[in-house]
Amino acid sequence: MPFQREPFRERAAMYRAVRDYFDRCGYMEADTPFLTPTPIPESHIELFQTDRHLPDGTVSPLYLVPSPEVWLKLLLASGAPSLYQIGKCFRNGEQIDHWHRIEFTMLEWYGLNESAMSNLGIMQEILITCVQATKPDVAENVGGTIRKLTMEEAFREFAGFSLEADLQESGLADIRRHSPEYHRALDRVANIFTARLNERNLPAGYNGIETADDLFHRLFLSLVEDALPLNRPLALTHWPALVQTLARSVPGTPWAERWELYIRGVEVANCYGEETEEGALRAYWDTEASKIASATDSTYSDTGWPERIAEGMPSCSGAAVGLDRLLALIRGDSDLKGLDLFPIRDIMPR
Amino acid sequence: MGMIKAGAIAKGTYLLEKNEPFVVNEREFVNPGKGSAFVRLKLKNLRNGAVLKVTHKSQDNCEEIDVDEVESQFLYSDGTSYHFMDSSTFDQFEVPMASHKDAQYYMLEGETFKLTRWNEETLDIRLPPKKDLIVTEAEEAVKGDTVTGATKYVVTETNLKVKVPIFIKQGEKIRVSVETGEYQERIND
Repeated sequence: MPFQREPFRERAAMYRAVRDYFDRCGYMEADTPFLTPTPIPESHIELFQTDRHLPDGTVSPLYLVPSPEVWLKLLLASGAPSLYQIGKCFRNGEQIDHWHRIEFTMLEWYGLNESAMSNLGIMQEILITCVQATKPDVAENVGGTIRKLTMEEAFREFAGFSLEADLQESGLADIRRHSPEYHRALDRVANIFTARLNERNLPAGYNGIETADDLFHRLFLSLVEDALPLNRPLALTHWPALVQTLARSVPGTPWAERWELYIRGVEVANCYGEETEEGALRAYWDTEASKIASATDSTYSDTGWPERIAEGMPSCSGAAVGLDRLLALIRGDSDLKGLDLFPIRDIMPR
Repeated sequence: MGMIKAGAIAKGTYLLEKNEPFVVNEREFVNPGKGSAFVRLKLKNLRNGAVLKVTHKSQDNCEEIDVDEVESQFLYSDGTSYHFMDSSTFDQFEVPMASHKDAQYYMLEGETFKLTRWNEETLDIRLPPKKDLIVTEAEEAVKGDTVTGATKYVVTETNLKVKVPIFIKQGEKIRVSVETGEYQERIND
């Protein structure tokens, strides 16, 4: 492949502009380790594992981070101000295709005293910043004002039913997350979602085994995501709290304080109003760790991360942006190939 | 017939969905940030050509069908069925014309085609992208009609009606796109 100057120039210009933006806003840039002995358990993410060989001959596992979250939150809990990081992240088991790589560059930031919705304002400014630094004449569908759409509005418009009504019917909103009663409510939601899929003749997995979380994603991906409007960047807000994340719940509702940003139909960013309550953090950790342990037939090590976070983490909102995807979309590309400095098939043969 | 994980399905895989045979035309992986991995498939129904979009979790079991690629000679059509002969076994079989209507315009008696067959059923007749056909009916060009780009209709030896440039005459050979049925060029043998 002949040497291409543009991807270098655009990427460097974008990083510089993002750093300038956060510097002006008083954020500190972090440079946290790529290796960790204790990643945050996320049962849907497969990690790259390596072995550390100690001088005494013992071996201990280390993992490449799937995001810098595990470190940045520890820094916040220890009193750091608002933070950001631009760094490589690693996800094993992913297909390498148009918009997926197993190694990619993520911008992650945490704004103190921000909510997910106020953080969307920062996302808009970053989008404008990146566009100005690379391709200022980019069209509205990439560089325009972010349209906000709640998950409920999206379901009503594109799936033709009220997701909120289904979630309310199960009683989920009124029950404390992770309690036994909550799990019974999740079973009720699963039944409702299965009926929704069946009546549309859509694959619903095995009745009684499929989780409410997976059934929600089946409905969302089959009926909603593909139909989202493409004429402007779109933030899909207020995701169901039953999707297990570290986003805090919106009290008295079945929703979590979370949005995802889509540009030209491609998922570019994810944001939470961060969970800081110890019980919820611990319940998240235990649930995900036990899922991983049962899938891998091993124990998941626990260093008391939830308690350390809960002890000092301030109210904040964190967002993560896939910078490779964002840059490719601004360039008008239909995949990530134009940014590869080495053809991906040459360095990652099947 | 066997089970295949949705995550292992590739473009070109033959599947049975809702008791109908399909071929996978497009496959896209979708990994929601906080959820299981999914694949979005665009399938073509091999009986009626209808397109079906379906999203499966990567771990879902799907039914893969084993199809045979059979070289077969086109013998004739009787108005309701095409009659073929398997080139290796010499077995003769019929294919309902209704399920492959357009094929009649691109197959000449005695020619050999690759057929995709499953359970005695012909799912696909692989036609070439272009076909050369002799014009059997053509009006004479009106004298003096020299307008650039002027066209007329002709009929080919397979009864295909094609819009062609005014200079094409009866008995000449033309190349036609099988996908669109449109004239491409005159062939001078």
